[in-house]
Parts: sequence; C-alpha cells; structure tokens
Amino acid sequence: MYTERLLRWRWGVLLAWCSVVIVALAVFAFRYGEDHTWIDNSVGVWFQGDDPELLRYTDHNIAFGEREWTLILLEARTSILEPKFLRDLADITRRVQALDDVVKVTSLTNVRDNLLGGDGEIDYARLYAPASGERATAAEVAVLRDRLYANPLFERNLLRADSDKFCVVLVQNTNLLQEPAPYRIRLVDGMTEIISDYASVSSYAIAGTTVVNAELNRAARHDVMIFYLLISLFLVLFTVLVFGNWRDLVALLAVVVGTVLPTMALIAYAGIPYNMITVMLPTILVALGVAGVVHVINSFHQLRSDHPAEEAMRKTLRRVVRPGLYAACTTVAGFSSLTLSSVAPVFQLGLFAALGISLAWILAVSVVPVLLVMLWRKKRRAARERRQLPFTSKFTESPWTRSVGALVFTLPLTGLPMLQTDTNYSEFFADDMTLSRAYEKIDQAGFAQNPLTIGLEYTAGTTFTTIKNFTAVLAFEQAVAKLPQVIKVLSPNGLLGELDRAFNGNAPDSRLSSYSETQINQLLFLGELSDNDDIDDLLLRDRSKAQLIVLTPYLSSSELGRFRQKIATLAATYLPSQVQVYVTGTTALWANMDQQVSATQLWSLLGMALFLTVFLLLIFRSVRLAALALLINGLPLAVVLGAMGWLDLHINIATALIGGITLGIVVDDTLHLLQRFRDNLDLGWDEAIRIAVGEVGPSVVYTTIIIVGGFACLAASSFLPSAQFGALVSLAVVLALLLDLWLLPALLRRLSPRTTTTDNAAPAIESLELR
Amino acid sequence: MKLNYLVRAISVYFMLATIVVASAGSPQEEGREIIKTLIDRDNGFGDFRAEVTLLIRESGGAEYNRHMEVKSLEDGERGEKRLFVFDQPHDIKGTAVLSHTRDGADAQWIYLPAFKRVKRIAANNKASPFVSSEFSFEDMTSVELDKYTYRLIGVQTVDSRPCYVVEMVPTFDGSGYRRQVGYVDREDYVFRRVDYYDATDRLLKSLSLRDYARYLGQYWRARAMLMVNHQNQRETAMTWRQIAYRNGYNEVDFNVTALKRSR
Repeated sequence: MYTERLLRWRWGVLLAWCSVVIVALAVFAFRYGEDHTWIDNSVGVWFQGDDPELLRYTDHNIAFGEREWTLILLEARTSILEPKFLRDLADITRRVQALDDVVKVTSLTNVRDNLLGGDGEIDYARLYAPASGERATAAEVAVLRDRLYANPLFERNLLRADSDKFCVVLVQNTNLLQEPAPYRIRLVDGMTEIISDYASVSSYAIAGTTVVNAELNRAARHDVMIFYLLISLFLVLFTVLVFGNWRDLVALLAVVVGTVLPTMALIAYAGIPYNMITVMLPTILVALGVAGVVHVINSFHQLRSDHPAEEAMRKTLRRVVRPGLYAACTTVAGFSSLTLSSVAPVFQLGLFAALGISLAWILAVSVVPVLLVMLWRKKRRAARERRQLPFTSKFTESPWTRSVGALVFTLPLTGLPMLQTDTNYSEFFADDMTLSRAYEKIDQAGFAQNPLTIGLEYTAGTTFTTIKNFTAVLAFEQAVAKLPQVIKVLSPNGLLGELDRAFNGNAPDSRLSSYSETQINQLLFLGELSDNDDIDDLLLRDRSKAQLIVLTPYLSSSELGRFRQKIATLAATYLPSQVQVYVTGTTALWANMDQQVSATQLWSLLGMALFLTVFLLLIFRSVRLAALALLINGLPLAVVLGAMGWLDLHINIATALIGGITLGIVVDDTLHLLQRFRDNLDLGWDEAIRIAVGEVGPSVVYTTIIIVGGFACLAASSFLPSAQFGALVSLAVVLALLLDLWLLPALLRRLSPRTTTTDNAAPAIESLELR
Repeated sequence: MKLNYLVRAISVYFMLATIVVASAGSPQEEGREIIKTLIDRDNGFGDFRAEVTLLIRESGGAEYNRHMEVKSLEDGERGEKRLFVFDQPHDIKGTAVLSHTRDGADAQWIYLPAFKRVKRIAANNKASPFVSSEFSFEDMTSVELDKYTYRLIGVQTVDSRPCYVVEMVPTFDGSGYRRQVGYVDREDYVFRRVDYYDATDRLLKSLSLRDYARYLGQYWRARAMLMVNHQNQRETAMTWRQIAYRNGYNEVDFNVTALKRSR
C-alpha cells in the first residue's frame, strides 16, 4: 500500500525533495553571504554562558584589559647582542607593536628598567638606546648586556644568561573570548611575515593560546576542504566499484544532498559557525546516510532478478523498512546521547547529526524507492545482480578462528584501566606542523611555552597593599616560583622590588616585607609618576586584583590539574582567607573541559547502553537475543577503548564522542542480520542463519565500507583528535563487522534448539517468536 | 568717457583687492598669530594655586581619584615652576612632585613622605602620562610658541562658541603627537577643544575644556577638563577649584627643600 502510494505520488515526492534542497541552498547563500565568520573556535564557543570558570575568566580578562600573552622566540644567526641583530630586533618590535590587536610588546630593545643617573636621578627608561638611533656601538652593547643580566626579572623571561643565541619577545594582544572573527590568524600571520624579513634571525617560534586558537581555525578551514573532497571522491568510487552503474549513484547522491544541505542550512539559519567538532558533521552525515540506503539498493537488486522493479521495491521496503527504522533509531539515539554534554559544540554535533540521520532515513524510504523504480523500470534484470555472501559454519567454528578471535577481542581489554582523560593542545597537531615545531623549539631553547595566570582577588575591604595580604603574597610567590613546573613568575612585587632599589638603594629582597601599607602605596605611586606602566599589567589601579603570570612548559590538562592543586595548597598555607586565588586563562579553561569531556563520554555511554537494552528488549522481546546484540556491539567499543589505553591515546574533546556514536552505528548491522534471521526462522534455525548472513551480509559489508571510508576521511584532519576519532570509529565498525559475521552466527547456533535439551526446544523457539 | 571711467574703476578695484589679499596673511601666519595671542593673554599671571581633582575611568568602568594642590610660579617669560602636593587617596597624602621647566628643559623631583626621601626623576619623556591619567606631561605644560608650526584650517563652532581651528605640528623631539588641532575661541582666545593625533596620524585623544572663569579681569581658566582616549577607551576628568592668583609665591616655595615641607 505504501509503495503504491509512493510511486503514484512520485513527482510530488521529487518536487518536495527539490524544494527542500533549493530552500537550503538559498539559506546558505543568504547566511554565509552576509557573514564571513563561518568558523569559530574562540574560547566562548566551548562553554555554556553560565559556566562558572568562563564567567570568572571573563571577569578577570575584562579587569586586566582583555589581553593574552604570546611568546615569540627568536634565534640569532650570531648573537642576540650583536648590533645588527639588535637593530633588526628593534625594527621587529616596532612593527609588531603597530599590528592591529597588539597592545604591548616587550623585547630586549624596548624593555625598561629603573636607571640611576649621575646625580641619582631615577629614569624608568629603555635599556637599549643607541646614540645614533640606528645601530649600537660595541660600548653601548656592553652596557646593555650588563644591565640586562643585572636584573633577575629578565632571566628566563626575555633572555638566558647562559646562552646568547635566543631571546623572547613578549606580546600582549587582544583576547576577545567571544569574538568569532579570525583576528588571531591575521595577527599570527602578521607576526610571521614581519619576522621573516630579517636575515639576522635564523629561526623563530611563536607560542601561546593565540597561536593555538589560530591553528584551530586554520585546521578547521583545511578540514572543511579536505573532508568534503575526500568523501565525495570516495562516494563516487564506491558506487562505481560496488554497484557499477550511475543509476544507483543518483539515488545515493539524492540522499547525500537531501541530508547534508538541509541540515547544514539549519545550522546556518541558526547562525552557528563551524568549529573543530561540527566541521566533521557533513562527512558523518554522508557516511551514515548512504549506509542506510545501501540496504535498500542491495535488497532491491536482489529481488529485481526475479521481479519487476515495482514489485521488487515493494518487497524491498517490506524487508528493510523495519530494520532500517530500528537502525536509524539507534543511530539517532547514539548521536542524541551527545546532547547530554555541556560542551556546546558536542551538543550541536549530537543534535544536528540526529536530525540529519532522521532525514536520511526518510529519504531512504521515499525518494530512493521512487528514483530506483523510475531509473530501473525499463532496465533488463540480470541474474548476476543477486549478490550473496557465502556462509560456512566451518569457518566460524574452526579452532583457529576461535583462537585468533579470542585474542583480538580480549587482549586489548587489558588496556582499559590505562585509559585516561587528558588534553594537550600543543600536541593536537601533526609533528610537522608549524605549531608543533614551535613548541618543540621553545622547549629546547629552555624558555617557557605557556603563560598561566594566577589571579588574586582581595575581598572584605582589603587590597593588594593591605600589609597582611602583601607579606603573605610575597611568601606565596616565592613558594610558587619553587614549583618544578615553574620557569618564571612575573609579579607586581618583582617590579616593586626594582622600584624600591632605585629609590632607596640596594637591599635584601626581604626588605619589601618590612614595609608599611603606606610605604608600599607610595612606591606604587612612584611607579605611576615615573611612567612604569608594567606594573599596571599585573595590578589594578584600585589594588583589588592582581595577577601572577607564571611561565611554564605547556601543561596538559591532567598536569594542569595537579598544578592547580599545588597552587591551592600553597594558597591555603600562605594566604589569608580574604585573598581568593584562582588559576585562569585560556589554557586553564581548555583543561577544565576535561571534566565535561569525561562526563560527556560517561553519560553518552550510559545513556546509549540503557537505551539499547530497553530498545533491543522491546524489538526482539527476547532477553537472550538482546543480550547477544549488546555483547556483539559492546565488545568492539570496549576493544577500541582498551587499545587506546595501550597506545596511550587519551580521551579528549573528540575521542570522547566515540562511545555513544559507535554503539549507535555498529548495532545497525546486527539489527539487519537478526531481523532477517527472524524473518526466515520458519525455514529452520540453521537455514535462517545461512540466509541472514548470505543475503544481508553483502549489505552489511558495503555499509561497513561506506562508514569506514567516511570516518576514515576524518583521519586526514590536521587536528589530531578528529583524526583519532575518525580512525577509532572506523576500527570499531570493522571489528563490529567481524563479530557480526563470525561471532553472531556462532552464538546463534549455540542458541539453536538442537543445542538445548529436547524438552526446552519448543519454548526456546517460542521465546524468539515475536510476530 | 564712460569707458574710461569703467576702466579706472576696475583698476582701482583690483588694486584694492590685491592690497586686501596681501595684507590677509597665509594660513600659517594666521595660525601662529592666533596662538601667539592666546599665549600672550595668558602670560604675566605671576603665580597661582588651585585644588585639582583627577577622576580616572578605566575602559572596564573602574574609577579612581587623585586629589592634589597645585602651585605655579612663572619663571620669566620662558619657564614655569610647579609644585603638586597630593592628599588623596590617603596613603599618598603628602607625596609631592616639583617640576621646573625652562626653555623646554625639565627637571622633576619627587618626595615620598613614608620614606622621608627626595629623589630626582627623569622628566624627558613628555609623552608619558601624568599619574597614570590620560593627561601627559606635555598636555599639562603651557604651549610655547616656537615649539610648533601652525596652520589655520578654518572656523568651527564648539559648545556654541565660534572657534578658530588651528593645526599645531610640534617641532621638538619627544612629543607624543604627530600634530594637534586646537579650537580657539574667537572672542576669548582660549582653547575650547584640542584633538591629539598619534604618530600614525590617527586620532588619539580629545580634550574638552569647559566652565571657564575669568581671574584678575584677564586670565581665563577652564575649571572642567575632560580628556578622552579614543584608542583605549579610558578617560580622565580634571576639575579645578579654589583657583587663586598672585599669592606672593617666590623661588623659595619651589625648591627641593620646599618639597619636604609640603603637607
């Protein structure tokens, strides 16, 4: 009945499809035509608006002028204290300062210190001031060297006393947490272009969250091009090799276009830019949407060898609609489980993928049947179109198969306890990429790779200069500086100490701790009067907030978590209760996401497992069949997760998606196999198994190829977590296929009434009868 | 006959026009003349004192105050001595800054009462901000005629007052500006507004001067100034109160010893 109506209204169906596609294209053109910011990996994208860590960071960021720190390491061809290099460095400094979104630049050539004139005059002036204005003389360079090395604040910050090959340029640039425009890419490109102009610089490296963010945006742009190109080529290749005709390709493309365009148009309409997660969506939709159609096409051609096209399609739909619907439900559920995540891009992926898959199923049972009947109606049937997968129990039951299978599917499980959640954005890009090389180079040069912010907020009517707070923070800073991960601490007290020495003469570092609140405030005022704005980078004018910039190697999220615990312990030891301490910054925020990432993995898995249990029980109404299906489909995921543990691959923002999605995908083939098995039970148990594997097997193999091919395209991503996600889902799907074709038939045979006692035979079959 | 009359009339007209045009002066000369008048009208005040409040607003909205007493002594025609004594906030009460300016050369000293010590501080960076406000030291010192070149751009109304618009380009080293555009009241020859342009000729700051009062029948003083920085969205409001001229100050009141006595 349904098929007849569908075919009677075929032009209406096609018209509806065309309309949807045209509207989607129009929405695309309108939205992306008016707004060029279609990729956004800014910090604000990853968090809910009311996320307490984001709110705190926003508050801190605004208070300190919305800035973040970028480090430029320069390697001199000869020496950083060679006049030509210094002249070029001065030029680099000036030009970088002139870039849009650069707030302040500090280098050897413009760094200032409190200099004492002949009559004791204090001058907070540049250490590098060649009389000629161009190139310093040897004598001037010698004076510069002495002054640079005399101030401990500069050591491991701008230069190293034990090496004259490297120096660092500290850049403070705009840090807009919610700004989607790719200003960071422009900024990094601008810096790179400037530095590349100077022959005295033999190499350089740029690091910081600005750079990481820029690379994320760049990777997303790259992925958009690569993914779509690869999946398109793969789709065409697959159709040509497997189906060998253009008619089936038309049907597949109708589903691809009808699924991807409306879904992406909906995203465009909602004004949601792509990010590193949602950029994978079209590829996923193509792979999974097409996989669903393969069953329709394959079954149609099998039946077409004995029936006219319309009759073949009627029987096809009768065969595949129910398992197809079940498969679509599980896949939709798998993606929907991601909507439990509090990470906005993951939520978006889950929501829109679920919508897309639903749309694909609708197209698979409406547009595809119409197209196949129209395109194949007049085509002669060929006997060779019946494809079957040969099934033999000898293979599945052989001891060799069992041994290898047992090894493959159990050994990796021992890696499960080793699985960890960890995020390190500096390692998220291929080793040959600029960012990865930059971090490596900075590490080798012995400088910090990352500035972390420790915020100090003073409450209960106290301030930074309240004497109890001030002396406590002095001790706290010293303790922080001694932590093994810390290379350098930039603090207001460091600068204050220099001011004190300039005004009151040299003295032990501990003299500051003996000062009164009035003395401290007057020293700070001296800084204001002598144009020392460096203190303003670290201390608000009203003294209600201060920040310590802690220079460290790039810490992964787990390392940063341990570091934060140490800071909390030190704060509890040294600081009074009215001083609130927090570790913040973009790196800290990204690291915080680990909790949400772990939660995503957990809830998605739990949600999906629960759903599958109930769903399988409902559709099969057999505890044994449901348990069998859960085993067959849970095992590949467990193996993949265990393998991740062995391979030291961590759960991160992308690999956290594996659980729910994989469960939702791999169960599809099992559903088709089991449904076909049940449909043929009246022919006998073993025969039903043979028919299921033989007739559904090819479709299952094809859908696996499609899905693996689609997800394997993601492995071409510049962003390693996305590549890992693609590769691991592909692996899980392949393993699921092996289990579907090996273990499932073998276990079904175990459940055969002949393998139970004669008295139980009838009840066993009756328990599986669900009609 | 009539033709001769017409020719003569035209000739006379052109001669008169030439004389008028020749006597008008170039825009550069006119600009200089305007500023010279402004400076001349402000000279000879001897000394003055005032209570000054600075209200500094950060781009994020935070505000803080500085309150001080300012004393000034004319040092001949080419210089000035100033003494700033801060009394708010409480912790900087008694902190004092002494500034000597003569022929463009500056010297500054600071006294911190908590340390009972005076130290000379460098005063060569005129572009640096005054107590972290948006007013720089360059903004706080009087205009010296020979330190700029001038050009009269036109006439414009500011705060309902017709003003000459004069471009001033500094000729001395160390200025923080590429040029300034001053709006000089045509009647009172005081600045109503000044726009400051940075080295790349982008508008950096604008100063509005309001609430002018006249002292000793001659000297106009703006009692409300607002400096807005268009690039970093900070602003500083400066208010002048208790302005008094010819208090009888002399050199002794503006030396290093006076710093320590100031409270």
